[in-house]
Amino acid sequence: MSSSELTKKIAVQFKPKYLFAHIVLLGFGLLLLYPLIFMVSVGFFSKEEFMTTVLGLLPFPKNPTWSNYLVLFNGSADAAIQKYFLNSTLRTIYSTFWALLTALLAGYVFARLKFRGREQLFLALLATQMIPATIALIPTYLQFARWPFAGGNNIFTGGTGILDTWWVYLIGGPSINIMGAFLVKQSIEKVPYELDEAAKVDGAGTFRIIFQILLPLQMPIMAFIAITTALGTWNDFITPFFYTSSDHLQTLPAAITRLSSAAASPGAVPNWPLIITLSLGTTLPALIMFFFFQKYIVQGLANTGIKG
Amino acid sequence: MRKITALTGSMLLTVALAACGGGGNSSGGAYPSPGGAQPADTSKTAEPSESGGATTITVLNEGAVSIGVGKLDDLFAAKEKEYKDAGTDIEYTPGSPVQTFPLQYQKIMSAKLKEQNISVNTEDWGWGEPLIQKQTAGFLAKNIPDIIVGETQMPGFAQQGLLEPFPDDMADYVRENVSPAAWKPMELDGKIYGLAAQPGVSSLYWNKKLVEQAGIDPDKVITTWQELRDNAKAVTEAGGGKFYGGGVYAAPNFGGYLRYGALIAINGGAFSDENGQPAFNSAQNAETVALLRDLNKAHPPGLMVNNNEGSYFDAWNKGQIAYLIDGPWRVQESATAGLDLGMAPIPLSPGGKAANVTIGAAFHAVPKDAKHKEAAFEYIKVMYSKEIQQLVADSNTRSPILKEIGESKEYQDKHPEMYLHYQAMSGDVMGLPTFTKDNSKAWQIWGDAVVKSMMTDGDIQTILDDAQKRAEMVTK
Repeated sequence: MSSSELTKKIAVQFKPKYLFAHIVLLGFGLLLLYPLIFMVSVGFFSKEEFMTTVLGLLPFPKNPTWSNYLVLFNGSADAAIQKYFLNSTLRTIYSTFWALLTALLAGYVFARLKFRGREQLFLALLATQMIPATIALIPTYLQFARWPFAGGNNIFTGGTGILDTWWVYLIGGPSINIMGAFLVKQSIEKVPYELDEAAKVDGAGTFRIIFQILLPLQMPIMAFIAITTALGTWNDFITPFFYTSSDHLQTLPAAITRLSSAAASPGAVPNWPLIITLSLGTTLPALIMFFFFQKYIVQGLANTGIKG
Repeated sequence: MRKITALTGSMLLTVALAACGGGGNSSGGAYPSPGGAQPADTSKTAEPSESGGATTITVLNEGAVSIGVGKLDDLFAAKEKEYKDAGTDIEYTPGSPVQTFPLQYQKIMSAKLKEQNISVNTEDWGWGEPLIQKQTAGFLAKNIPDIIVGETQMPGFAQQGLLEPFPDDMADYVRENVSPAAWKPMELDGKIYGLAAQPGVSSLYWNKKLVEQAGIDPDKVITTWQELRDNAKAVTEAGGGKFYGGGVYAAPNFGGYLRYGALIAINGGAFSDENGQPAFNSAQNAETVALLRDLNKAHPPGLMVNNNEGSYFDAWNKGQIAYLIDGPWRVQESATAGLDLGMAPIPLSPGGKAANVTIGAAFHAVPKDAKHKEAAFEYIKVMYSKEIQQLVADSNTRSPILKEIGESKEYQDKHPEMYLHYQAMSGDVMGLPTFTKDNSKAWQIWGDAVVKSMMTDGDIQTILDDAQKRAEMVTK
């Protein structure tokens, strides 16, 4: 594009109707960005100053302090932030990997293999998505506590099962990603079956067809599943908070939940600047991830024929 | 071949899991199993032979005294360093002010328990609804610490038979020597099921500066509901939208019920009858709700019923409301916020008499399924020991529960404001009731009715009658 063409294009954007649209969009953009700006600013408040200051639209402390950001990066006696950060990262990677694997394999099975009860089984799996997660909390707790021979259990009882161990994350975290399987199924069904047959003629087995023929065609939907699973796991505080107690198993969101629930205990004075700063530390990686991969979310959903 | 692979895989998984809890994992085996398999992690086991003869008990954290989670003795060094780095003096002499209350509290607990060969491992299960859910699951799975802690849910646990009553000699000592606010709400059928080391009851606080700006003598103590109404109205008018009269937090949640529950009690009303059935629509309750409706007009719109209680107390700390009914921590917190504070017993209704509801009481109790009940009761005994109670007195944030300290001349002279609070703790004090069935639903019906009464001009008695009917349908 020549420079004159570019200048022309830019000039068009300054026409009243476009300019108005830009101003409106910029306004909305700032509105959406406002909570983040607020969080960054509150991070510079001390607990005492925050408690006694009537905050304006953009709060600026009179005596700014780095202490909250130092806790975010270095931790404190009560909170080993780096450890929580590492746990969050490992858990996110592990869960995302399993979500991708199970979604791809289950999606293939339901899209391509023909067996008795396939539709019923698929509907049954989809039906599990209708159960609110909160209802499953206590049954899952009991399931983990009664895990055979684990945690001192004499078959089912007597010990703590897999509660408060890494197995909570290894077994409990990554179940079959039903939504992912549904999306992959929809997407694979669009791929002509002749492609599979051609591969079979060339001597490809089932796994080769899945991983070398179909997987490359599913990349947008796989990216979508990866992003949504990673964001969901990164932000999940229920699993670590509810099924584990030891400090070395906590993740960043669980640590923040602990801090804020401690703040709600009798007579405690909440350290909101610290809680908000730690929340910022949790939000930013997720936000960056979303920022870089957002186009895959749209692309991935478009590939499955699902419209919002 | 496939079958053999699947079988081998299953066996490997089972062995791996068994290893994880039974010995391999540092946190898997919190308790010894009745089957004889002992977890290898000595930090969490309690059999004397496994920890140099010591019994290790697991105790749930309470925010006000928490210094972290894990083995208590291992937490001191890091916490001390943190205080020192912040320039806080970590020395403490009994009888003098204390700047590091949680650290000193835990050090005393640890030292006193060590004398009896008991060590402590703390866990943090949160507070409020998440804590209740986790405790409920823990009771079902029989995976529960030796000491649990909680506020409004604890009497309910006692009613359900999930808690161990105090041994008789311990209960007798508590009745005789400890302020009723610390144990009365946890008393059921003549047995005591829990104790709070530093409970609170509500008092009336006022921001002298705002009151003065309304032309009211800031040092004059108000004693009647009518004065509270009039003064709150006067301050609101003087504030012109910048500050308000205030009064009491009254959202449809336990934060609200605990605070205006004191007004209900003063007026001779109640939330329930002695059988745990709702008693919402008494004339006394209607009068109290009428007061709340009037006080609501002395608040910024919506603040009094805002479900987030932090917003309400933020307004107080920032000098936006003049009157407040709240727990004793308000004295210290207001000092930190730089407010010139007045404090007095809650004003009385016409014909009413002094009464109160415990608030901010972290009741500690020993579950029926606790593995080390004896050691757990020793823990509770240390909570009301002279050393811990002297520390509570020195904190000037709460009042001690031990009569010997609370009623001493020294305490009255050194902490005149908190002595007022101590006196309130010793009067007619109760806890919030637990309804016989569908407790949370019944409370929600009450809370919604109060909000409706405050936010509309509808007839209060009619609203409460309707709430009574609906509550009876869920509790009977």
